[in-house]
Amino acid sequence: MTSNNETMQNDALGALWQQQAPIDVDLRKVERMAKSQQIKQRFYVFLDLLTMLPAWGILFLDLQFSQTIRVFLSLNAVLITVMVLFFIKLRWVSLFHSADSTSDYHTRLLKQLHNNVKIAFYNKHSAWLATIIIALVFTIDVFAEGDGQALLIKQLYLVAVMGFLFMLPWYIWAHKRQRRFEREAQNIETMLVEGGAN
Amino acid sequence: MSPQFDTIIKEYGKLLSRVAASYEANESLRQELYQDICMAIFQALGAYRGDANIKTYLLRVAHNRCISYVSKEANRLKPDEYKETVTNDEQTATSNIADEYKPISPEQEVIESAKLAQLMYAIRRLKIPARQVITLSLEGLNYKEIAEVTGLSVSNIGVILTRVKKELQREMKA
Repeated sequence: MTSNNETMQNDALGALWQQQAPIDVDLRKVERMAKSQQIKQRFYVFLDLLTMLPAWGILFLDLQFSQTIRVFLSLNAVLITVMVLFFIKLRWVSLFHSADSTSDYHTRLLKQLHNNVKIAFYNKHSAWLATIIIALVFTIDVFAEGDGQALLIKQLYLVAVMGFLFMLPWYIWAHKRQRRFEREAQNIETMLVEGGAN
Repeated sequence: MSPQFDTIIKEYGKLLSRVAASYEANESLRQELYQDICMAIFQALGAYRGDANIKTYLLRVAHNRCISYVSKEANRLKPDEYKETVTNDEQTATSNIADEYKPISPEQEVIESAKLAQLMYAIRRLKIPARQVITLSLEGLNYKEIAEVTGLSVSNIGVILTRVKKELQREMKA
């Protein structure tokens, strides 16, 4: 008797659920938007690859860099390459794992959000760290090449201005991104935790 | 237009719009979410090799798209803020469907609308795994198919379903 009641109640819920009105969309518009999104995604990968070009290009140009600067630029190029490959991997994952089972997708999304938090955190601190490293490289270079202190002061002044103009906005932008990803991860974690209806 | 995409949306459009409705109460945002789901389906169809049931494949893509949506939009409205909007939206929904399918009295229509609004409100307050399991069950999927979509074990699905159905029925009676 109880079982019959339950079945009837389930059927009633199912029938009620099916009563929702369908949503209409313009399928041509959807297809256009989806194609344009695919083109954009490919373009972003192309842009990612392009960002490596200046870093490597400057090494192969016949510029009169000192040994210290050349080592610094090589490390910079390797670092940029690793980051670009990582970003391409993230894009690849978001493109080709949309049909994973939902629990795999939850796990992947959470992991991705936590990775994004880490990336934003490293980006944020790379702002002041990069300023210090560049200042150090210039200092070492000036002393290694035996150049005058006047040049060093000029270069450090330049580093300070560049740091203020580019690194400060970069720091603020990365900080906001870090907070946004933290919020998103927290939201999704709260909504995924089982053990109650709410 | 790709005939496959066109045919699929014609056949499964209602099902997919119900997936969107289980994540978004606001009518215009629900429309946007549904559009996003359709775009995700369009892109995912390229990778479909026919090794899975098309219905469960589409449901996986749709729910996954909604999860990404929830992670970005969950701060926008708290569940309690939904209530007013939900009621208005779902009243429109049931009156639309009533016009389309069966002649019912205005009183009955109001009762049905209220019940649907209550059900949708209760479903949207569920945690995501429970929400997915119950909505898939309400779509008529069996335990094995639900497991295929969610990746949960059949026994776990049974436990979640029993608990959630009881909770929903309690809320509907309240």
